[in-house]
Amino acid sequence: MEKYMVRTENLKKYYRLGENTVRALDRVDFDVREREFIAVIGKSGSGKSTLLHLIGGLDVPTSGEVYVDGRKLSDMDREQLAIFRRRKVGFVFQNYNLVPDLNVYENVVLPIELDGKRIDKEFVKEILELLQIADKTEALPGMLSGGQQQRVAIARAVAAKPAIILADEPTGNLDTASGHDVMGLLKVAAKQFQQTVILITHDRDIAQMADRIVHIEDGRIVGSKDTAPGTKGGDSYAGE
Amino acid sequence: MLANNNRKVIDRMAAGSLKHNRGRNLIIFLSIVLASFMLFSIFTVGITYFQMQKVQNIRLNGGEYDAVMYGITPEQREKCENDPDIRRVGILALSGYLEATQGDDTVEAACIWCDPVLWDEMMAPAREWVKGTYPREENQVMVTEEGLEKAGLAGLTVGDRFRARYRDGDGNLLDKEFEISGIWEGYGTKSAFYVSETFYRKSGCDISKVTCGRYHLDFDRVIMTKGEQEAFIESMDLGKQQAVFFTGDLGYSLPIFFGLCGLVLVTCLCAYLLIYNILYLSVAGNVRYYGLLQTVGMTGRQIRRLIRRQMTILGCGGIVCGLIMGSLVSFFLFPSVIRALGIRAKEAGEIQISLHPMVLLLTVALAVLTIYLGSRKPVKLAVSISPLEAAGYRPAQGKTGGRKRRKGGLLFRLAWDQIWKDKKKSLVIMTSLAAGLSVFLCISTLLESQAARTIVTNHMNNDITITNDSLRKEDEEEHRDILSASFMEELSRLDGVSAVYPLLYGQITVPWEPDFADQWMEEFYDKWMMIPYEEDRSEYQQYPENFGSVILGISEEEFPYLQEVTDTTLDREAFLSGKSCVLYRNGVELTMEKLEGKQVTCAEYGDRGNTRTFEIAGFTDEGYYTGPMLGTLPTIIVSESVVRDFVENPRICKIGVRYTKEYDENTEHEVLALVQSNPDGNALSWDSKLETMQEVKRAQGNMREVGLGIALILALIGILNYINTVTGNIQSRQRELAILESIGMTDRQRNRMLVTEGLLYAAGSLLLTATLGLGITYLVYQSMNYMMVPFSVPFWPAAVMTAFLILVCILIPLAAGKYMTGKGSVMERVRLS
Repeated sequence: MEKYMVRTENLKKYYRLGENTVRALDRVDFDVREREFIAVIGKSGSGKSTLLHLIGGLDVPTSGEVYVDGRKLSDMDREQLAIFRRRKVGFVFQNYNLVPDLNVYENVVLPIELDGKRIDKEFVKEILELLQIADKTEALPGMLSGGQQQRVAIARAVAAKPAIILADEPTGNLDTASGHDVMGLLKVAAKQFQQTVILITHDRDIAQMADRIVHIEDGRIVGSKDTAPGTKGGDSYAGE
Repeated sequence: MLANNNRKVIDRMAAGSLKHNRGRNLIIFLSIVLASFMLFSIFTVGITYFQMQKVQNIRLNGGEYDAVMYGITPEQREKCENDPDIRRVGILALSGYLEATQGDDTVEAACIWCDPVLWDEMMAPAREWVKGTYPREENQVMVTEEGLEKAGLAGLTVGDRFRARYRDGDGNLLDKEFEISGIWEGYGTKSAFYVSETFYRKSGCDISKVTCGRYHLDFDRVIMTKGEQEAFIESMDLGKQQAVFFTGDLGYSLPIFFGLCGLVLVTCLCAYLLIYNILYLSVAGNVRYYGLLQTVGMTGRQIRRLIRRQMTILGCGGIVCGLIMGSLVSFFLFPSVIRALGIRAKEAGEIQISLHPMVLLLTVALAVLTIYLGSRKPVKLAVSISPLEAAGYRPAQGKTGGRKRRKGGLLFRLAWDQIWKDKKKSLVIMTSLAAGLSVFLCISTLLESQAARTIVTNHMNNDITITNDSLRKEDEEEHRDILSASFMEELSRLDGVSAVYPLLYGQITVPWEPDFADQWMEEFYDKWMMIPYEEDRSEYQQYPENFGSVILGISEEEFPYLQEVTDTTLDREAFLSGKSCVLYRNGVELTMEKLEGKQVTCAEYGDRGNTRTFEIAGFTDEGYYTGPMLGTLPTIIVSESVVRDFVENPRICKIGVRYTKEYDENTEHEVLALVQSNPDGNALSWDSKLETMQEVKRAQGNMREVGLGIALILALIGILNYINTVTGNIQSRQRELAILESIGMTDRQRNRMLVTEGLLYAAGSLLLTATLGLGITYLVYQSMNYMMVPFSVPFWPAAVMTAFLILVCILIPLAAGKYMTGKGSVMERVRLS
């Protein structure tokens, strides 16, 4: 039987906005296989970020279930969810979300330290070299460019050896060249460290770098398409 | 450039902003209300506190005056009356001594005449009630019930008559029937019999003599420096025997004033920090709003005006509300609390909380100043915001540059970083907390010293001293040996009595000799007598019996105490064997340097042949070492065995009694019962530490409670300030904390980090309190410490304060953290901020 890293069942997330109910996600069934690199695309407000947050345990669904690495998130309390996040999930945000008072190295090893584990210094060094920020370890985020900050965020996401990396528009604040650069590094790192990646973007060029593109619209998945030949595909891609 | 009249738009926007940002503005408004209320209450309550302290001093002094001059010549009187700095002067004349009444033949009560200024004006605030009137006729007296009881006249009332023997100023013993014209109760010399001016005029006493006249001076100024006091004394051109004593109130008024200024300063700092913190956090938290205004084209000047306009509206409303609240609390709640605590109104000085225009002005001025200063930086901040920031762009936060990785646990490191991240803010938090705590520490230390004033220190720490007054009688036939060996034994057998020290006494005379006796007499006459020594010298040389004195014998156990109150080191063996003696100085200006190696020879009274010679080993000023009479010749203190060996019929004149438990009422009761059951009990008088302590305590009223209330209010300001700043601080870090949560920080870890931060703040505040706060407390304390009570920080208030502070520093961050997590999911919080 094929192993799924992420699976959602009839996932719903509704918000109340004054008199109206906004259906951010509506009956979403979504699977991601182990080590798969998926790009989720859609318009602004289509629900792609909400999906990512529910998968990462950052938000709670109105109904439905999320399974990550075989574990049901709704069974976990706040404490367990936090531990789940630092062990299983690595986040990369559009705004980098680095801790401004910690230097590059401290930011990268923060999830490991929070978990009380020993830092695998060789491994961290390897990541930093791969992401070309090994010479910036003592720099504070404030003195780095956007592209460099995002690379630090990727390094932080990868360093704790999580099973899955969730990247929410990681190139959104970067210029095209830096964006492609960062994407390339994210893909290489994920491949090297055998991680599953779910990437949110509205840049079709960036999305093309993924194994599969999932199109989401008005809170529903409207299509899924393999990009690389030879990979096991899903549904037909209806987004074009 | 053409003037652009955009005021209307700005004013409309300011009003609109106030309406639309109700929540934010409510916090600012409440903070101004709170600060004005606190300032107003502190000033009013503070003034009340100092009024109460004044009342306490009036009670302790028995009247409202600043200095007393002993003896007054007509020239000095004229000078004082013409001195514009002196508001009023009151005369007291010692006009004789009551020696016996129909109910007690061993009375010792002064006959005092007070002039109308002294009695009706200066002493009035110290009286609780008066029945009848002040004496007008020669045979009328004014007394207290306590005075009547001590004179064996208990139960008499206004209009009653009694017979008494008294000695007038010329030394004549007279018998007279007196009528009680009035009875009073309150504070002052309660055992005295107040007499009429006619009585004084006929008494042979003269107020120009130091033994009779006491001139009470009330200065028309609040502050008088030591130098000014000395200049005044100098201007009075005092005779050698004359002296001027300033009371604590004015004598130490300058240090008290500075102490008060210190307290007000710390109080204002607390209030300033409160307003500053809230305004700063509030405006800083709305940075994006102001940036947005710039985006739509508002200039920096217009933004400045917009914020100032809002602050003016909020400030005016807040200050008015704060003043109304403060007035309600100060004039309705506070007095009722005082009344509930048992402080009587309209008596003994009357505590009235009055509205000082200065308090009102000062509160408004301080509040306006703090609002201005508090909003200055936020206004600058709002003006400097770029429109980009408002549009959602987040600039790189925090410092730029690099930093080496530090060692230590992650959570501690994060907490430590937080403290050092914004040093100014951390310092403000710690200072506000430390200021509140320091004021608490300062007031509780001062209160403790007030309490220390109730601890009466008697000689040898005796709980009660019983004196045989029959030995004062001139006629030796009337002397009775009441404090006999059997009485002593009965006393020692009482359960709560731990020790009994007898003071043996014998009558002696000191024959004239040029070396010491002559020198002593010369000094004595210079100090105390109206006539020169030369007039009496030959009489003294020929008939030393006419100049009686006493020899006192102390037990061996008492020797260490005698040593404590003697100005030189005594040779124990020499003293106990009778080789040396100690002299009671009696105010005479003689020191051991002048008497090195000199001896005193004395003879038993009535037996010139029986003499003893002692080496003079030292002087004591301890009033306990005085016998039944204090003659012109020195009182000689030796060991008990020496007296027994020397004098034929020595008697115990005083007994010092110590209880197993200090201030033990039961033991005191038993001792007094024993005294009263003695057939000659009315010839015994006593001086009880318990009674004195109760009297002082009564005089102090409820100052402790009021002071503690103030201390708590000030500490509360510090804590409120801390709560406000810390919650605001955590609120402003909402995003950062949400980020940490998103990458796996658990609630427990977050709490540990916040608690560590809180503890670091607590440690910083305690450090500041223990150094700067304690230093200021020490200075304030010493400046107000005219009773010379040694400085000591009260343990329990300090310990409770520290524990409470630590508790607050733990609980507040926890509560703030918990409140924050309830505000939505992690991502909502990341996005919201």
